[in-house]
Amino acid sequence: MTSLRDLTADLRALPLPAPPPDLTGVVLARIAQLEDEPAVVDPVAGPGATRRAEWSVWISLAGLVAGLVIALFNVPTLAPVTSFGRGGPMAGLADVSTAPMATVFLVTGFAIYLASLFLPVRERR
Amino acid sequence: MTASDLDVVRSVRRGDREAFGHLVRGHQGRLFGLVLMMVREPAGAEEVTQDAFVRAFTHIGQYDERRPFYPWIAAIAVRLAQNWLRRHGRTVQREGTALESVGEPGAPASGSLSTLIDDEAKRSLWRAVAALPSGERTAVILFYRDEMAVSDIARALGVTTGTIKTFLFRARRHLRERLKTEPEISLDERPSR
Repeated sequence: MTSLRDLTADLRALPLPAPPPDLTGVVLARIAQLEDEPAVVDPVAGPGATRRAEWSVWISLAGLVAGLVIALFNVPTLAPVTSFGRGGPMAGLADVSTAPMATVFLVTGFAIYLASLFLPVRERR
Repeated sequence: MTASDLDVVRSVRRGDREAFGHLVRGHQGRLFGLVLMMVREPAGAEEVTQDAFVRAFTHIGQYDERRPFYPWIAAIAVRLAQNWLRRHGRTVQREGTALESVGEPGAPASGSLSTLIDDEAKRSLWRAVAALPSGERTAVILFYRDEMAVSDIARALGVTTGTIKTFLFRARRHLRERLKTEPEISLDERPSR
């Protein structure tokens, strides 16, 4: 019976297939291709795009704040909705829906907010 | 890590792309053999081996110079091979005789297992190892043939050292069962590393 040493030696010498002869060349070619490829220009990543992205963030925030202000305060009277007990916070919204200016502000702010949310996605395409 | 591997890695880190070829030439044999034993398809093994080297090159900055190079790239290759198996729906297979059908990978594109392994005992052992379940087979190859430590194998396979020891224990049991008609072969009971 062969000893453990023999078995270990056999396993260590376990014949395994030789790799394809051109493996090194193929790997180096792939690496060269990776390095030589021009960096993919991401339109969103450029300086102009960064500025647009910053603007879109500010615009969306402004739109959101405007919407909230209009919702929580009874624009155009700017009377704060203090009595949540009577009708609750949605009462302010109900009043807003009847005020044309407030509705315009709210819808515009919301539209800007939504548009800025999807702006980066559209530019990447 | 051998001194030459370390020198080469440092050269690669300094931007010497061609130096990486030394690493590829030095480790491609073991790595290709390991991957082929996992994916059991020469074309797939070649693809995974290439990917492993490319991945190693692009992540060479993450390599810890205090550790040997082969276990690091073997871990990359094992993960990529596992992904390859998952993509090809071959996650859990007990690949008994399937190996014969991939052209007996002993052959570098030509010849057969018989011509590669002329020693009948080794041929039986090779077939027995090839017939082990995936985890056991990988553990046996990495532990015995590639002489990796149990902890390194565990890291490569993403399991605990206990699992590797269990794999090795079961592998020995399976090998013993398969080789019981080969009384000249005996098996060690404990991993020594």
